[in-house]
Amino acid sequence: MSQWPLKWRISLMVASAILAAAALNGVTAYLDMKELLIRATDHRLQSMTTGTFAVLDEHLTDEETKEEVRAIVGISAHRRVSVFRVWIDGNAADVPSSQIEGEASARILDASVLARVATPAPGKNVRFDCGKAGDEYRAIWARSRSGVGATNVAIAESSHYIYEDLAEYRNTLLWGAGSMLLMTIAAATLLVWLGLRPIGRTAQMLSVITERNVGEVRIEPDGVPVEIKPFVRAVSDLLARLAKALQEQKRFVSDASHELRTPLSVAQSTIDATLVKERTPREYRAALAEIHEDLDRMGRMIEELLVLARLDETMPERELEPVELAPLIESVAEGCRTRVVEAGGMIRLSLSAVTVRADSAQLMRLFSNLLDNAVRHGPKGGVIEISIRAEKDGVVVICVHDEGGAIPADALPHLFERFYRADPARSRSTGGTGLGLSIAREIALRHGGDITASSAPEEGTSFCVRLPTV
Amino acid sequence: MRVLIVEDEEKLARNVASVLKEVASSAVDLSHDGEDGLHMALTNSYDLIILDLMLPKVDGLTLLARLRTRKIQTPVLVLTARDAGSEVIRGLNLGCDDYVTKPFDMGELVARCKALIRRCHGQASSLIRVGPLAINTLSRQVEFGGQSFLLPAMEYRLLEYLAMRSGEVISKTEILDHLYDFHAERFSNVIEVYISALRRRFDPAPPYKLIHTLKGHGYMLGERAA
Repeated sequence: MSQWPLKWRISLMVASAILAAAALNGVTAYLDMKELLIRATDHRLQSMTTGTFAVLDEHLTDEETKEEVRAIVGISAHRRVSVFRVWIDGNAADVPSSQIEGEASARILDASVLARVATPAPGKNVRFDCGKAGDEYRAIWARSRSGVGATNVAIAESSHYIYEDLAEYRNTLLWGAGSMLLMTIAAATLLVWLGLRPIGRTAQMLSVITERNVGEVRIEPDGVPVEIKPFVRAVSDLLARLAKALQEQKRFVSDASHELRTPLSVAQSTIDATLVKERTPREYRAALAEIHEDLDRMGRMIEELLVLARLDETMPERELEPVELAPLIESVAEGCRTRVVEAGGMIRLSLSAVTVRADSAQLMRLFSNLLDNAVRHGPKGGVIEISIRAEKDGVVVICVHDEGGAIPADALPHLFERFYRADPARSRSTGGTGLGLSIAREIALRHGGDITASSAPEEGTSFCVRLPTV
Repeated sequence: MRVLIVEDEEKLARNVASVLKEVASSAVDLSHDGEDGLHMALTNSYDLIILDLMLPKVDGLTLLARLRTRKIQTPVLVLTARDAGSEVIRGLNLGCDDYVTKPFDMGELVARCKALIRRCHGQASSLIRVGPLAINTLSRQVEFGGQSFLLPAMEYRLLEYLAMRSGEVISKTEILDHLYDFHAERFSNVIEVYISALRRRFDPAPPYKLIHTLKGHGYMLGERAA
């Protein structure tokens, strides 16, 4: 049913509800009407028996009695035929005064019909239906109060007209319900169409958006019904987020190409400058060494761009394994120690045993990047400290601290952005690629952790990684 | 000619400078950020400024705009990334005179630099003629009396500068400013030394017909009845 258009589904639901209500209402009205008509007949019949008993009590002649009873029973009404019988208990034959209609009375109120009805108690009556389909009768059988030899009066009145009237009434009800149903479906369809039209208009607004103009086309929730506003707003927010992501992507590509082009330009200019005239072998050697340096820088950058690209793909869960942090950090520090010691500095470790679920190669890259950053930006000959601190609720914090100068507070939040440089003039000469810290953060995020930087003039600079422990 | 290079990639700046010195005999000053570059450009007189757009502290376009609002009309050649079309347009609107995209060909850069300096002094051709002198600014050959000379660098520099502005009286300080970079050792009578060297070659005996000294004003290159 979900592949049906919404307007048909809503119409169908409304129609079913209307149909159920109409059916309930119709059946109730029909039954009420039927009972009303039958009760009126019963009432009339009862009056007739009362009258008939009164006539019988008057000791009139048979002929007079007959006349009186006939007048009471009122045989000759339109569509209504009434018959009656009067008899005494113990005597099968009717009293002479009621032997008039003979045939009709005998047929409609004969012994076999009466035998089906429970004999009323003295002074009481019973009402029942008789006759055959198309010629139905409503009848009453009453007995007088006196004990032995009580008088019985039975009167039947044709009730066929009731059923005819009821049939007509039923048809009226059906026609009413039917036309109401049709009108309701039409109205529901129209309303749903009207209600959905703004969605169509919104879709039209959205359809003009491509990856090129996603940031420029603004979807306005004005002129849209209140109910659809949240939807439009959500879509517009989504578009804004997409535009921002696209923008970032574009900026990244442009930054990356700029960063790659710079060492290329430098190398090219070195070659051009060298080839301007004949040089000594020493000068050629110096030029080649410079070009080598530039190519190295390009190579490192390309490698780190690849690392970032791979990190951007989702990492399968199964590559994570329990990793002991202390030995991993020790080996990273070992790899860096010569460089630090040669510069007159030292690396101090204060580690404790903690296990995390991680990709160990990525964790090594994370800490090696942080350490490399500390070596490059810390003062020559300074102390670099790496500490592990287990915190409550399964979190471990690993901090890499150097004695470098303070990073301006407004630069701190941007440190992990790709190619961000707090001081562009300086950091290029320190040989960084501008990607190390963003790779570190990407790895921390992949492992369900994060990374923060803090810096103060007296205290130096700290990069702290928070990771969930096993 | 004196050129200022404002470029934060130090090695690149150094390479361009060495080529300009060797090929175009220019005096070259280097600056590695926008703030310093602006200061240099405002305090010294240059014949050309080579300006990178992505600079620390003050970016290239801002630097250019400030120069132009200070009415400094020195020709500016902008170095820019290849895909920065809009930056180039903004730069041209702000008053840059030419641009070269990175990575660039050094030969092209030097040729454009020379052309900019020439045009700035109203010399459309790379061959400058002043009286009997013909100076080829590409090959740095000077033709005089049917002979071709290759002058020592400083002599050529001076001659080329005087020739570019032939007919104008140029003060000694002006000449010093345009011939020497910031770090050069200057001594007060250096110009007299080179002037007399040039005279020995092209205008040997007074009354001088080609290289004139106007006492208290400066020098002028041009044919004039003495």
